Amino acid sequence: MRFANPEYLYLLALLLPLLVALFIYSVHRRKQALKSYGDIELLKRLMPSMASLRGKITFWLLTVAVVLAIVMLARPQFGSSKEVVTTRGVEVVVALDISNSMLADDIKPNRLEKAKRLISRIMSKSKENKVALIVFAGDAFVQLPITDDFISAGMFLESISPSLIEYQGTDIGAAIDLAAKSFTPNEKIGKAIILITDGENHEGGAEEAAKRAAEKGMNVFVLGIGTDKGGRIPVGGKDEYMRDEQGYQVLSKLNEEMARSIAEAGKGTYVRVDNTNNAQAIIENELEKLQQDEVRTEVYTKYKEQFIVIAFMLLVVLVAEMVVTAAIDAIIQAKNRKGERD
Amino acid sequence: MVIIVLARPQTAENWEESDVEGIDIMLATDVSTSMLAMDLKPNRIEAAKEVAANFVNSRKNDNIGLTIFAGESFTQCPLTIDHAAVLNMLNAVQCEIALNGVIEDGTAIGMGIANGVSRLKESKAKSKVIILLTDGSNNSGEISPEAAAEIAKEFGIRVYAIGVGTNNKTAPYPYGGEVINVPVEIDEATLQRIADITNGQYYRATSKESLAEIYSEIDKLERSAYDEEYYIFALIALVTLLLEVVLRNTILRKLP
Repeated sequence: MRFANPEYLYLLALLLPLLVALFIYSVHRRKQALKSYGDIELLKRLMPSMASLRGKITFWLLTVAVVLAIVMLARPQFGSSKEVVTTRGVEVVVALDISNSMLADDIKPNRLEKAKRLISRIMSKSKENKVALIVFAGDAFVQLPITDDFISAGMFLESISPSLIEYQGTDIGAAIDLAAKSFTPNEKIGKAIILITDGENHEGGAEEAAKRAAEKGMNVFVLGIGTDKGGRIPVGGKDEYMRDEQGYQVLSKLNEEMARSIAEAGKGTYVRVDNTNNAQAIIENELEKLQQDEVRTEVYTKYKEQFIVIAFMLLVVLVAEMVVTAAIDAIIQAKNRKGERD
Repeated sequence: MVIIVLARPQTAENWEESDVEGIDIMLATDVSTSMLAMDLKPNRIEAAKEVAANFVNSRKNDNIGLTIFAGESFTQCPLTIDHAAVLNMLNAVQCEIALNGVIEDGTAIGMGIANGVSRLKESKAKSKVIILLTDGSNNSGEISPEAAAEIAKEFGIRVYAIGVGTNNKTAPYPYGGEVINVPVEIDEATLQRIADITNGQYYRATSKESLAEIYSEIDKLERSAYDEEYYIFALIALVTLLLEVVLRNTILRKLP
């Protein structure tokens, strides 16, 4: 039990003694007044004892009413109440590889653009989802924190390019770890990490990170983007491609084996992204499954306001006081009339 | 009186719920070059960032987003519960972007509000708030501050407007390695109008400490704005009762 405004309880300590003192004073005054009418003992027999009982009842009931009013002001709260709110939709954190190899043009127009379009379509599919975007190369950072604002998400997605991260490399493990931290605290909702990468030259630690994420209830889906044949990486203007130290054009190939093993560790699915829209359909399907498996409910426990109950009790007490005093008055009247007749 | 208090319970339950569910807050911050003035320590923008960061940390259940504006406005961060990300993005806010021409300089208060409204309008939160912070007057942008405020009102969004700057006529400002004095020109009338139109409040911050107090007051307002009415009734009920007890036992004694 707790009180939202415990300060009011101090009023009790202040008022109660005052009220009792007031009552005692009043009884004393009454006795004085009665004395002026005659001997107390004689009067007690003449006047129905109901009268003094009435005084006492009135006082005590009203005092209880005052106590209740103070307690009501203090706003007692106890007992928890569970509120069931149905939320549909899942949370999707996309971890997008933006290392230079993602500029390879074996997938049209290039791997990164295809990935962005794919993400854009997945996002627009279900407005009830929440989405976050993580970009990574040698480093990982949050491009878009978890939000249901799809308009902003579209804008933030649009602005993704390899220039966002200078530090080259493909630290998938760091990306997955960061993704796992980017969901909302809601434990009941379906959570998916969608990793999009060509898997080239990754730093290691990816499978372990995927396993950790899966343990937290987040499925890691891996979209492998690229071809077996490999693609050249355009640099600078047209027809210029990235070359290695020997001057040969670098051919970036999709590392499918690694992508599969990450998906397995992450209890998700591996999907190959090629020049068709198959990957999109498969992922949308997977997300729908995640959503349908459990219609997510959120349960709030809160301290329930009890002042209503107190208010009710207060009302009862006040009504009782009116009823009882009226009854006593009636009895006194009846006795008086009877006394008169005698 | 007691009956009226009983009638309150339905609304009271709802108020308690919104306390738990959280509200949606857009921080709309002026990043025009004038925010580099040093009347707030170390300068206006850094003081604003620091106080805003503390505010973000104290609102556990709320979705918070960030809009910045100078001559134009854009969304730095959409509404999110991921406060770590908000803090990172807040930290990255600088006036340099207006200084270096990445965005136009100027003070487009109307655009700042409009941008905040765009982010908030789809929100289903019970309370939607923009905390607008600026040190100047509207001098650019296609939407006037009043028009933007009317739009905000349409969507049930409250705007708390904060005018930042010392009460002196001028403030110290870094220019070319030296410190010069620039005039302090806050259009308080417009900011007050914005607050009035949207049922928010206007505040003036003349120092980092007063800015912190303002945020603290906004924090309190947005927690229990609804509890007060119930109290008035309950208090009246108590006073009436006490009166009755006192009167019954002194002046209005019924003696047979």
